[in-house]
Amino acid sequence: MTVGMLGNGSSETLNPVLTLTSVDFMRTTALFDLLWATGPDVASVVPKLAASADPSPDAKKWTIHLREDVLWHDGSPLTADDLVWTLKAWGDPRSTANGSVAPVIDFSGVRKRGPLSVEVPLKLSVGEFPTLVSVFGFGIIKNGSTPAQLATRPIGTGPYKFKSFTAGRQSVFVANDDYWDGRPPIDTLIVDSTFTDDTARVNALLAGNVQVAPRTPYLLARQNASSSQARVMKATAPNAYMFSLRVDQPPFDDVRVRKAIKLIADRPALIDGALAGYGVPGNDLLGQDAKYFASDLSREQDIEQARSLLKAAGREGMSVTLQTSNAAAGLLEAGTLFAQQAKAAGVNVKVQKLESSVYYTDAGGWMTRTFGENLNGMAYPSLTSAYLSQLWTDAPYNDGHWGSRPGQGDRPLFDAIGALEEARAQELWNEVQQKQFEEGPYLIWGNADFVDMVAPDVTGLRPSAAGPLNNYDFSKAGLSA
Amino acid sequence: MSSVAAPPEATVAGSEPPARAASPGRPVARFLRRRLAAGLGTLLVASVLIFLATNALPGDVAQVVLGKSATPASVSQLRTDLGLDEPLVERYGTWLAGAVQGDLGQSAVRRAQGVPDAPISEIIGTPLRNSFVLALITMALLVPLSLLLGTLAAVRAGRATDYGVSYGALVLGALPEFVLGTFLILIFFSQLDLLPPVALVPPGASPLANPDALVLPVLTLLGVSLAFCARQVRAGVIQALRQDYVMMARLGGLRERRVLWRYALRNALGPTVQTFALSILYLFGGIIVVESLFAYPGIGQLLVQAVSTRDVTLVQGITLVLAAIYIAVNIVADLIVVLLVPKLRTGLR
Repeated sequence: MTVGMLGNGSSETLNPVLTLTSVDFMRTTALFDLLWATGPDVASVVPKLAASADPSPDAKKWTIHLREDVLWHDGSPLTADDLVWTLKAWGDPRSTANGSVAPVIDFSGVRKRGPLSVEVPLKLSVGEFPTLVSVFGFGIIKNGSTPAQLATRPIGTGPYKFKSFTAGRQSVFVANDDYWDGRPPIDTLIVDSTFTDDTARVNALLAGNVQVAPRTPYLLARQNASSSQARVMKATAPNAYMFSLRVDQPPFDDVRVRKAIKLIADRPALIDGALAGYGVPGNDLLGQDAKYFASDLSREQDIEQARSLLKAAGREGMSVTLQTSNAAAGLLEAGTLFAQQAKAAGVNVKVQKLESSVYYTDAGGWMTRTFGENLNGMAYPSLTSAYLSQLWTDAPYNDGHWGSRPGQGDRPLFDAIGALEEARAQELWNEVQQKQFEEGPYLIWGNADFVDMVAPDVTGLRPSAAGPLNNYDFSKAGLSA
Repeated sequence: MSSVAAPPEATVAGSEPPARAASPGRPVARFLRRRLAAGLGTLLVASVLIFLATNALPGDVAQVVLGKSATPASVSQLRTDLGLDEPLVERYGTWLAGAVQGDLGQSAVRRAQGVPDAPISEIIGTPLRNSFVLALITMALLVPLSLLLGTLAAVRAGRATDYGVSYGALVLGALPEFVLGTFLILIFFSQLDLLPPVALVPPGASPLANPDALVLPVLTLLGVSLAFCARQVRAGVIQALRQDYVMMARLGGLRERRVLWRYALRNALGPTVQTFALSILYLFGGIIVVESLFAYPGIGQLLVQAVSTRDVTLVQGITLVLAAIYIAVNIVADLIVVLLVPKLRTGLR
């Protein structure tokens, strides 16, 4: 089976500690396992290498117990030492994992507590700790693995074993006969990343050169929906498209102006215009579909109220510059559409297009821009994961600068994150989300579907809200005869 | 009659003693030396421009490479790894000294991934060969086809054949590569199901192992460049046909075919060779679009990926190699012109 993906040239890697892009995630998921995977419904986690995990009563220390029956690709058994080594790798600031867990895990206190048990002390109480490590960047590596070895001859526990790899071209993996969850039905899994063009990828699928084209652009999927050579798989997903409003700078330091901007958006029109209709409206809250998510809150366009809020704030007829780019499909379109919608409320939005290569750098104003656009791209497996990433004072991706003003304190948030008891957690999360809904820095207008195309004879792959093809889960992938 | 039968160079060279024209060895060697020196100078200037341009791009290289996930610690680590802490002039010197010895440095992104040794010269080897294969096949078809069509159109100037060739070529040439390529895919794959729509080449395999897959990329490149070349040949031949020596040759009773191929076309080849040289240069540029469209693993694809992943050192390396190819092709083309067109050779001295 061959999977066709857009390539990233020399940046492609098989090192699960350094994965950043879809093609890396696809490959490392085939070679390595997580402790837990985000469940297909996003509201739960599915155990992989972890058999169980016990929190201390204050949820400030978690003991992880590994499965007993797991073998590395070289035949040696999985042990607690491997997890200790992996945690050490996550503690390296260069790792993908580091950004999101550095504020949480007390790396210096990690201890082996048995042949298959590891104690992980935390810097704060976290009730849903397993969700934090159930996303890409958290693959488990073997004790002693070095970056050089992981990049060239990786040894994992995953459903496929490494055979060959040329960055920007192709990787060849073979089925792992000893996989703890059963040998995959296919013998060889090839990931071809020569593609720089989505049309070529879909053509290759139609011609039979590849059997799977994950994350197909919506228009191409629509054009080929009735083809006998391909099947379109679609999942409604928490793939959040958003505008970020910086809460510590005029004009968005006034909560009335932020609310007005959120009321201006015609969400269904944005989904039609920027996502070709493949999505559902968002309610300005992060973590859609996750446990404790406030799905009962919703917001619709209300130009009259927006006008009166702007008037009360003394910002009638204001001009703002929106910075956007082609860094993700649909961002520029959404920005342009929003600028048109804003005219109805007398707001003049100037759309400034930045080069996608600098959009996420200091030079492009990443993390400092007053008004910008973003796509989250992956499901947050819990509200804890979403808010720790983006919505507290020192969050690594706090581009709205939330927490910078009195009254935006992090306290109720950290109580919610630390709560172990469900009813209590729900209550606290409701409070946090209500405040975000009224005052938060994000206008989340839509959640885009995950759309993948596969050949008609492909079996064992499924779309899910957790990620494209259930986060590139190829462990059961097969081809019908 | 003897003056008519004499080769055209004698006629054109006018007052030049025939002996000079007959022994062109030394002037050509001197021309080549001068041209090579100028070429190296140009390459040096190009290298400065490439280095400055890639360094003038907004954003620190290390930060750009690490992207959204960059932390101050990882940025400073990569800066040290890549020697970015050195002053600009020193870095240029190191880079140039390496390039002269065939060492284009290390891929910034691969190094950021923890790969201990990622020489750029190794990364670009196979894609460069693949692109050469595509360009050479295209040239092998382009040269005879455009000579034939261009001459045919020139001889039948103003008649149906001419209009057919000229307008047909014009229409093809006016289409951007991705339109023509998509159109060909539509016909030969979607409708007729005759040819594959992509030209995937597994690592280690030769692109020639699966010749079917090369047909559509070559046709696309050919379609787009044929127009330009055939029209240049046509213009050159028409002009040559109006020259006195052609008239004299005809008056002298030579057969039209001989007049055409030996007298007119040969002198029309000067600008034509330059046109072909331009086409080769275009093939290395236009090939980027075509490679992307057909997912062909060539240097264009590599450049696109290097740019999109902001692998700055790889972009530098590829651009320098492309610049060197451009300059080399130009020198070779000039040399061929000089050897082909006698009047230039005699004017060299």
